[in-house]
Amino acid sequence: MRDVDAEVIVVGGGHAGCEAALAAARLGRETILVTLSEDTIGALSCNPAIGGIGKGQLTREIDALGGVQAQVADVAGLHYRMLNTSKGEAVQSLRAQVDKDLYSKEMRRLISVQPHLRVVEGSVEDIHIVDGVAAGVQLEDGATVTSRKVILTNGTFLRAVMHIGEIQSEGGRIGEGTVRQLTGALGGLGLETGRLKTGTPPRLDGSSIDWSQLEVQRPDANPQGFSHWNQLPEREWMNCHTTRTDESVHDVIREYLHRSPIFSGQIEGVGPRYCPSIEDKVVRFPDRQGHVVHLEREGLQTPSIYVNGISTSLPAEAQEKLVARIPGLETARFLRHGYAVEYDFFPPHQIARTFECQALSGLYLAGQICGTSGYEEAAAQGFLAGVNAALDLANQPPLILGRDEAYIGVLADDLVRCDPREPYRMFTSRAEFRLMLRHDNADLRLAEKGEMLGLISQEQADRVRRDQQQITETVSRLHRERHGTRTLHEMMRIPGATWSGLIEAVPGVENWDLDVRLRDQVRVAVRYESYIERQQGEVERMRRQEQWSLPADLNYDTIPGLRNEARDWLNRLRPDTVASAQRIAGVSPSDISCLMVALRARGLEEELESH
Amino acid sequence: MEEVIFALSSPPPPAPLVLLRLDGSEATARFLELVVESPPRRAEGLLPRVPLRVNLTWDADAPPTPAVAVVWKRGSSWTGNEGVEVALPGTPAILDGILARLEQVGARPATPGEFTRRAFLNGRIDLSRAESVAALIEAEDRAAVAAVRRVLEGEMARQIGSAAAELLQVLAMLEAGLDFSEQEVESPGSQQARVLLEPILADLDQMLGARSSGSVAGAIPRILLWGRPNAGKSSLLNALTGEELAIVDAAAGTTTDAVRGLLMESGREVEILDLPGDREAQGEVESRALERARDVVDADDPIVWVIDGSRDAAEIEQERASLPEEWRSRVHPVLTRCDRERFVDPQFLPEASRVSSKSGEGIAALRQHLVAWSARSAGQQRSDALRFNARQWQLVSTCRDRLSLAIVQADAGPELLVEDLKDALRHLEEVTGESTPEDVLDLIFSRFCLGK
Repeated sequence: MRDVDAEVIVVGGGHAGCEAALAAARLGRETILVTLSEDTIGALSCNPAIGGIGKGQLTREIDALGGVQAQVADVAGLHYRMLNTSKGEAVQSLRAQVDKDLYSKEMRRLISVQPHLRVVEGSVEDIHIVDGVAAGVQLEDGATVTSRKVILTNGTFLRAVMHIGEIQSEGGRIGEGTVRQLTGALGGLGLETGRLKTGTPPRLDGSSIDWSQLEVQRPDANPQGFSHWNQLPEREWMNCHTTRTDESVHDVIREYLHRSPIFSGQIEGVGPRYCPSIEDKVVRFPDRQGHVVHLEREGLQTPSIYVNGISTSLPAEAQEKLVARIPGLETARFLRHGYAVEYDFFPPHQIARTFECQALSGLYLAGQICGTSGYEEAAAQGFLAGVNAALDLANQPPLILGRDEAYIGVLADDLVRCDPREPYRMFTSRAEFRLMLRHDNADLRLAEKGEMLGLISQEQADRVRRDQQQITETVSRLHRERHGTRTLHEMMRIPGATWSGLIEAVPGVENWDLDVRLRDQVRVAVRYESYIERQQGEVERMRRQEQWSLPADLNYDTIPGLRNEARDWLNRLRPDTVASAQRIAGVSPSDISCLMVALRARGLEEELESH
Repeated sequence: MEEVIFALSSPPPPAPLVLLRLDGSEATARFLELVVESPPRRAEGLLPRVPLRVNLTWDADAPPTPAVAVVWKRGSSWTGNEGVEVALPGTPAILDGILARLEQVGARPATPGEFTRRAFLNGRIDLSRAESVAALIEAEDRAAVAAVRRVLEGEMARQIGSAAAELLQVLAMLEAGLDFSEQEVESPGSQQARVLLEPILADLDQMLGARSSGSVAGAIPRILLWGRPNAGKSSLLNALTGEELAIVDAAAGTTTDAVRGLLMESGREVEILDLPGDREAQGEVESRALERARDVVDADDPIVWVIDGSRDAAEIEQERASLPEEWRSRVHPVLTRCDRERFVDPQFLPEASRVSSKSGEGIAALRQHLVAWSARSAGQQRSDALRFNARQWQLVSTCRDRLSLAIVQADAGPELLVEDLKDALRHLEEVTGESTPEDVLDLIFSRFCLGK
């Protein structure tokens, strides 16, 4: 057993790598985290914030299952805001500005105190394979570290090229290196690769900004943290500020557009539409007179300000010129220019829901190298990859979450049939059952699963079970009890109804056995009840189709009636179930009927043969 | 093993010549049992696809009937099974004898659509083509055939596609407001959403042949259910259509929005519309729904006046007097709950149907009466509107009703409005093609400037 250096090797110390390494080690597996530099473990490469719409749900789900992103963010949080409070609970999400330094320090601390986990510095350039199974990694200096599972979380570092105007340099982040050989090594295993682009805005010196001109954005007065298990520490909360671009700024951009790597053809990778560069915005939406710019402090001990909204790869002089025309930033000093980065990724239809690579057993891929974007998306993948690698070593069934169970399930399910044209980001609209998958009930949905894994303690899970019981009992009591002609349930369903309103109207309710912090959850449960019941039919239909698996050796070329487009997609993405096939954009319902007919015929033939 | 089934696949007799089709694993063998030859031909003696003159017998006393048969091997026929096509004289007496003889030798008459279903299950045709074929078979006259052709040529796909695209646009705008609220995205509020959705609702009404002005012709005759709250209209609708369309609740006034169902009887279709109970509206939501329903009832459709038969005769008389004058000539009274011990005298309101939705008593007779009555009142079937088959009609109609409900309760919150609209859209997409959340996102990205 101990003829290897570790049981699990995690390559990369970003959001995916940290969750993967901590999960595997906490499940008792000897784990080595290989990183280019120990100092960059837990770095927030882009914006100083965790959460956001659709993403905050991911962070809370990771927490409910026993991952760390939420608790680390809470240690570093400076400004919390619940988003979409005017919209309805199912689409509300928490977002926090965090201190980048505190964040990475806390992450490094967790890793350093974690038993079974060691950190090794180095650049992984090849996968060590024994008997057709991943058996370790080979470092740049030729050394081999052996293991039984390898999890790659290289982020944007594979053959990474940064662009500022015409100037190109190698590296996945300013001041850091790149990994040159790994893409080719994996390509040699038959993995398809692709190229994506992302970008980051300039960082400015806060002491050179005229804050008096800017609009103030205040945090929530009584913030709720990300983690279900810890109280948010008492702290003085920080304000954020906003300003705007105007036509004079856009003029500068137009003037320099021919020198933008995106428009000159210098960059071939595709960037995300939801996070466009400022030059993208000006070109695509010429009618907009201005774009909002958020100024976000990167930490308490640093003057660095992240200029959210003007991600750019224009030449340095253009960046300086355009920033000087933004109100409040006229005399701002640059600490770092914005840049675009191009990197290799592996289209994730090549991985299974466990994040294990189909081409090589024992190799897992997670995070940005799967073509995603975002700290939260990366952390969710890393967590699943780490857990599933450990479960497989223990000969236990994998952790696979359904689309009706968690945003994490939606993410994994989307990725395995995804051939992204742009980095994949979570949105609430990707979750068809988002009324059930709320940030407020992540613990109710997932803590027991975390307990079964062994990452959530029994005390924690007991608390969640008690909460669930109180909520269930209160909802049924609302159904039972009447006030005048209406049940209390009906009263709660009136738009705008609140628990305190109910207490005022109906004597005795204040004495019910219901924890104050659960009142809102009861109200939300009542509000969505009928919709969720209606969705149950959809959930069951989806589950049935998920049961209907598509054989791995199915030859789509021989199935009559399929349209060519559908045939191409099915051959390429090879969905594992009918449900998954149905969600491929190029596959129509009539293609699905043809598929089911063919499956039926195949089933009949097999039945005949077996007799 | 596929059972051998048979059916006439040309216009029914009397006709100079009819086409009889057999389909199934031993179709040729079954057919040969009717062929008189000496010695009888063996199945393998018949060449596939080559027409062959044969003499058929069904009765020892009758002279043999000459016919032309074509044999199809497994995999080559329209359904994909082994099959035989026989052209023979369309004399009813002869045909009856031959069909009876086929049953004696182990074949059975095909159920409606069974050939098409077999073709579908064998992967020979897809669902939408199967439906169009079925519609062509059902089409009764030239105009109806033309309407079906329009469906086949994509008119339906175009109209439904355009309604679905408009719904998707509104959905994308609402979703953008939810997922990108932190960025300066303009997203419609509930009032604006209503303004955007009303025209889509009108389009769907037009497609379904619903008439708000009374001048637009519909494809399917329609009957309205009218009556007091809790008279049993929803139960009656469910009993007539055999589906759980309306939510039935003992509390009066459960139905707040019009519910449609399709009654199918002897190959004819009648749309049944269940309107909210006739009572003074209470909440704002209810009054909006009632207003819409009253718009519909102003058209000149036949009306079924649903009466709780367990009430006093005097009360019922009073209610009759309160019916609008112009309805008198087109009202058919139906007394419900005839299973109750307390029920009006049989002499009272003799023209009324007496039914129980609970026990099913009188329902079959009422169905037949309504089909005949609607055909008379509505005159000829108007064929200039789109002609849907039953499945398509039900889907479009459900979409229409869900959309109507979404408009009524748009104030409940944008995330719930989205759910209602997705529900409506899902039904439309089942008729044509499916959209994935990816479609919504594509639309969002093409319309809005995003990026924080």
